[in-house]
Amino acid sequence: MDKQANFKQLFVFVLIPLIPLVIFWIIPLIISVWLSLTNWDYISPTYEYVGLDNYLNLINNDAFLDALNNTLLFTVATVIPTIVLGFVFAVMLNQLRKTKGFLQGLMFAPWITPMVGMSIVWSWMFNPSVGPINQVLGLFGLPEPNWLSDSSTAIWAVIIVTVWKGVGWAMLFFSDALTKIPKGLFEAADVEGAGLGQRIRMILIPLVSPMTLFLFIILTLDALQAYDQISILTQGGPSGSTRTLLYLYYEMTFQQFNIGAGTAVTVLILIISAFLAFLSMILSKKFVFY
Amino acid sequence: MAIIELKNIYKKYGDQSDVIEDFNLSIEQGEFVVFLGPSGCGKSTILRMIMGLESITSGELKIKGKLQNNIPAKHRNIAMVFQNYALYPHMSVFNNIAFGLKVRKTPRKEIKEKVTKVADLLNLTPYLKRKPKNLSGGQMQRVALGRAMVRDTDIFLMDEPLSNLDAKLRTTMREELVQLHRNLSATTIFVTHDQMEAMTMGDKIVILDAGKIQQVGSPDEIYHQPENLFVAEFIGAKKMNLLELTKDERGVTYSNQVIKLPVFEADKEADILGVRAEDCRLSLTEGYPFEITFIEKLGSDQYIHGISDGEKVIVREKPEKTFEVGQQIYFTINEEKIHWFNRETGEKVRPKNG
Ligand SMILES: Nc1ncnc2c1ncn2[C@@H]1O[C@H](COP(=O)(O)OP(=O)(O)OP(=O)(O)O)[C@@H](O)[C@H]1O
Ligand SMILES: [Mg+2]
Repeated sequence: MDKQANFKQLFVFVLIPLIPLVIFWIIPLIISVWLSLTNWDYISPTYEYVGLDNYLNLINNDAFLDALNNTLLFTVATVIPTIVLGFVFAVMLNQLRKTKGFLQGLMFAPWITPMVGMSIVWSWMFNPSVGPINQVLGLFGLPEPNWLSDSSTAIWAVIIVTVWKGVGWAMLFFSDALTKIPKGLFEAADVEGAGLGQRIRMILIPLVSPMTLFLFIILTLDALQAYDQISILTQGGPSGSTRTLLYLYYEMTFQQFNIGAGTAVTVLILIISAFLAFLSMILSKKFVFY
Repeated sequence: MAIIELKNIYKKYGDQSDVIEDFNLSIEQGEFVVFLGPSGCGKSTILRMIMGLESITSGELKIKGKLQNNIPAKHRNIAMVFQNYALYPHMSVFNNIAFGLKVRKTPRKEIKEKVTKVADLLNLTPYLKRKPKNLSGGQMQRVALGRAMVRDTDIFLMDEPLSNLDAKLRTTMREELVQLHRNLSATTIFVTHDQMEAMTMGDKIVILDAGKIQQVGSPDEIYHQPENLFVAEFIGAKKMNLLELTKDERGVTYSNQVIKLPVFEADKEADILGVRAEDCRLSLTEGYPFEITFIEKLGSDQYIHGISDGEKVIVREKPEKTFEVGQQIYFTINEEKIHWFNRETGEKVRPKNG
């Protein structure tokens, strides 16, 4: 009797909510994993099971290794500055009274503007001859790179755009976390003689750490899935210098119709994401205060 | 030498009216000063101004002879216990207590020694590893105290630091704090709204009401020579009996009996007679009428509450005597212990030459 009731409860409260998850996530995932073990070309009615061939090919493929490299660089170089700048701006804006809301809104605006539209504006900004960025750099006698068409700077241009977009968003989350810290804690620290640096290091940073973890995970996943800005600013070029894993997947699947290899890339992206999420959970035990 | 001097201090929050008005006080080195007053009278506000957490709207604050109005809190080197504790939620009890020492780059070994000692004194040793959210209110309060006690300073500001402790712990902590105060030859300002605490701990009690000082004095002075009606009613286990005097052709009377008034200083007039419960006696035959409404037995004494000519009067009596509620008797007053007040000004009126 009891067991039956338990089973009913289990069914209603656990299994039913699982249905959409299974249909929209687990099944496609299984299909992807399966496809990554075949050589389907998207059109043919037939395909073969090729085992781990797709994966082995990828590992020996320079384009893949470059993309992996680019992805890691892109992720690290967007996530960390976004979090650091978001935090710094949140702390600064938090000191303001009247202009706080307005400035927050202003900084948040990039997040709600479609990336596609912004990317077009940015490609004009980066333009070496008419773009304002190089004109300003020139004014100060600084080097004027060919931003988007130079393979050593293109990825940094994409990173700048991505950080610019994310900072206001991160700032808003940090602002909220900051307002939740009781004012008395800073007064207590003040009384005990802590300077600004000590207050930030010993009180502010630990107390916003749950928010930092949250932003870290979301921004990392977001960076691993960056596509819009790359596709408009550089299309993965020049010479593959901005081709991230997701962009590689797109090229393989929808330009070369190599579904097997493409899905193998997505499976790897998934594994990387899962690994990073797992890593941050572990690190959070040590560094995050709840 | 006065170590803390407050001169004509006013405080306003925003454009509200003054929360503190014309506050003047001078505190000597080594004094244990208690601020006593009802909730909302401005005790915390003054403490926070001395600490530097609240700006001073006008007036002068001097510490050790130096003007402090514009010195930030962290340079005043004063230890403070906050009314709401303000413990750091992400730090263990140990680290909460050690914070001030860490900030000052004290050597590890010294931090450990000091914190261990203070934790021991405050019975916090078993909790050193816990976070504040896993402590009871009384334990948190002791952590807040510990944080102030490890500091190397000679001025302590304590905002109701014992309010959340149980009766026994409170009594021992009172002794500990007074002891600590003596050992460090520190100057302490202690805020409370518990008059027992004020009376037992303070060298000097500052009674506040509505942002104004009502009286400054030793516990004895405050009790035996209240300067005004507020202090007379506020201090004492039982508020002072205040009898309204009326004037007629015979002179000043209470309950239709003529009261002999002394000659007052500077031709002032008194229209309220104040007398404490212990300075009254009940009598079956003479005095002012008294109808017993309630008997409060405290073991060593009993307080007999009653109505006399429409006023509530309390009389302290020996526990052996028996009375009954509803009994219509009389009470008498020890004339040497009368306090005279003027209703309009609320001030005490002194008889000429003593
Ligand atoms: N930040 C503030 N802004 C506006 N008014 C304030 C502020 N802080 C205190 N007040 C007002 O100032 C008055 C004195 O407050 P304060 O906290 O000093 O009282 P208190 O004597 O410490 O009371 P309690 O015994 O309840 O702690 C109160 O009327 C309070 O409402
Ligand atoms: Mg208070």
